[in-house]
Amino acid sequence: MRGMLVRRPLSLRQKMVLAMGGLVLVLGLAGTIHARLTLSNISNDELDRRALAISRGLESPATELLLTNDIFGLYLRVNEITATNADVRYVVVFDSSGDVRASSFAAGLPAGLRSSNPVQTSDPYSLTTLESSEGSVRDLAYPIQGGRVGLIRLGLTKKPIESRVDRLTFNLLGLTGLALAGGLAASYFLGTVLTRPLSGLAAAARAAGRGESAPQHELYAHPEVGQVAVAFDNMTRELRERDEERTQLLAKVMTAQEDERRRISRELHDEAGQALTSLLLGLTHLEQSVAEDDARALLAELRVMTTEAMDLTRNLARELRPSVLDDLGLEAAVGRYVADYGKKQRLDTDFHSGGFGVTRLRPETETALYRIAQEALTNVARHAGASSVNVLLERRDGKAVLVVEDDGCGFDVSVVRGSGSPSAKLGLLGMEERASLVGGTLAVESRPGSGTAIFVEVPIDGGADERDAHPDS
Amino acid sequence: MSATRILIADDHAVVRSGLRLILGAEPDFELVGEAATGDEAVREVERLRPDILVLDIAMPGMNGLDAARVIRTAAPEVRIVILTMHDDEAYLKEFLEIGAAGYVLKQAADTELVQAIRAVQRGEPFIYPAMTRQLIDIFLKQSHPAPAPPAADAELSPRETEVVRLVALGYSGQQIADQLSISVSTVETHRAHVMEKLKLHGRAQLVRYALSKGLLDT
Ligand SMILES: Nc1ncnc2c1ncn2[C@@H]1O[C@H](COP(=O)(O)OP(=O)(O)OP(=O)(O)O)[C@@H](O)[C@H]1O
Ligand SMILES: [Mg+2]
Repeated sequence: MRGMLVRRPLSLRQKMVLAMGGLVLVLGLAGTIHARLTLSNISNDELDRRALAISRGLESPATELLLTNDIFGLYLRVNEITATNADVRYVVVFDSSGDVRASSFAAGLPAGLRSSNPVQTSDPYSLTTLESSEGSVRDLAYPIQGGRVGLIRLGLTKKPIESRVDRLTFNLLGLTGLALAGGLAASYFLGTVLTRPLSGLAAAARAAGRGESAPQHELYAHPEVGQVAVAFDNMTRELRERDEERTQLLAKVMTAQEDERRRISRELHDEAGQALTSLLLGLTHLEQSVAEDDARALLAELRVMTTEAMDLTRNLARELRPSVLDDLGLEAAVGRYVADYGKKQRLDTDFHSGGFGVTRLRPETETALYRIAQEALTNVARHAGASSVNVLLERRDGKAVLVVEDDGCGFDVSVVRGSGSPSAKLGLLGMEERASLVGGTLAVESRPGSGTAIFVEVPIDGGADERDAHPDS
Repeated sequence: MSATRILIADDHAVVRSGLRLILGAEPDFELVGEAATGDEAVREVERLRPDILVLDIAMPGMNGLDAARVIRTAAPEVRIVILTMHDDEAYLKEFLEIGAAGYVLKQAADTELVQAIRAVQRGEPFIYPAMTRQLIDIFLKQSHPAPAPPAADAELSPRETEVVRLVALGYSGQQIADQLSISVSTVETHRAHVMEKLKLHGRAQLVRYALSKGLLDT
């Protein structure tokens, strides 16, 4: 199919699900990032304020202790600060000459700490973030009494803040995930609800294509699809009506054609045939009553010509519509046709019929089956190159069955059927139409190289199909 | 010997006048009447009791076939000679069954009608010679209604028997495949195999085989 090669556009439902998913994801991620930044900013400010408060609290006792050179007192102070503030990583107190007077580090200052956070002379203090083996540390360098007495270095760990931010991020991402799942489900559901009437219409359209349409009443109230459903129903109704009209017209045309053929056939047979008969008889009489040999010879010749004209007339009449079909029925008519056909086409024919008894089929059915057999046999002669044809005509189980089977070249049924050029090939189509007009079905089975068989089945309703053997009068 | 009394039944006046010419020329024939329809023919036969009725098939109202049927029961001693343009075997068969004594084609009326009437009058049946072939066909068909299939009597498997039965009933390959739940090509294989085994050619012979084996009576 051609459609397979083209990339299929997304369905409405797929689009809705995609849009909803994208939206939730973007919103969730942006919110998470924003919250994360805000929280860490706030927390950092708070941390800075705490560092300053602790340092300011230490400033005046440290001044006194430094000036009195009470190293032990200073040590106790430093210890107290680290003991009471869990997030304080270290406290170091320098004197004005830059020597360490008290420190929470047991094993001396870590390398590089001293120079890591210099204070500009214009600033009251300096804050910076240091990376250590234990994670980020907020470092405050706080000059005591403007640096005249010494310097406090205070380190506060940022770990609690970071873990708080991470926890928040985790929670927000979890929420985003939940929202995503909910949003996808909702949009899938919505998409289904929105497209269901359309799917219903599509199914109805497919059914209508097969000729089994039912009105879509339940869709009429639908706000969006209702109008489409109404229009669709109107369309299928019109199509159906038109199809029925076409079928009726076809039936009429076929009946009219058949009537016309019957009329002309009978005219030929009766008027022309009988006139020729009496001409023949008259010539015979004349021949007997004249004495001259010349005249008698001429009359004899005329008689032969008249006989030939009668044969011609009879054949013509029979080809148009055999009176056997009307007088004696389908079985006799098809049998006769097959026999003549075999002789004319030099084909082996085998005709078998059975089950008909004395009751007759309806005239339309008889005509349809006779014409189908004729057309099928014409096709065999024209296309098959067969050496033999079998014709089967049976009545069983309330059905008349006709099978025309040849052993010829066969053909690809789907190709001939599918070739969509309705103008040229009317044989197969016509046979199908005839069968369906009398309520029957026609099947063609053929493969290149293995002959062709035409199967026709026409239902015949019990005794109702019996009719007077002579509809003509 | 008295003249043969003849009644003519044909719906065409031209034909009747032609017949009058021909039959009137025979000294030992006496034309006793004419009829233009089947009903009239029946009435005239009743009234005139002719020896011979020359009867056309295609007539308005009651046609020749029906008229012959009625006359055969009403006046069995009247001998009927059918005069028609139809050379169909089916008509001939029909008339032989009804019990007509002669059957002459109008194409041969000039030479054979008089001959036929004489023969029939003598009590011999007369059938237009060209129809003898058809007559033999009818006879053969009646004496062998199902011409014994040349079948070599081979054993068929139950599956093959079923396929033969359905083929003989006129089912299509697809229908048989559906009924037996097998593929169409399997159906064809079975069928080809059976035809080969039984040395049959064509569906019609298969039907006759199935009939002779009683496969179709259910
Ligand atoms: N018995 C057959 N054996 C082989 N080919 C066949 C047979 N019957 C039909 N066909 C193929 O199917 C085609 C369609 O047949 P169909 O009777 O519809 O058209 P047609 O015979 O070509 O034209 P027309 O409209 O005059 O009948 C034919 O052209 C032929 O190729
Ligand atoms: Mg054709």
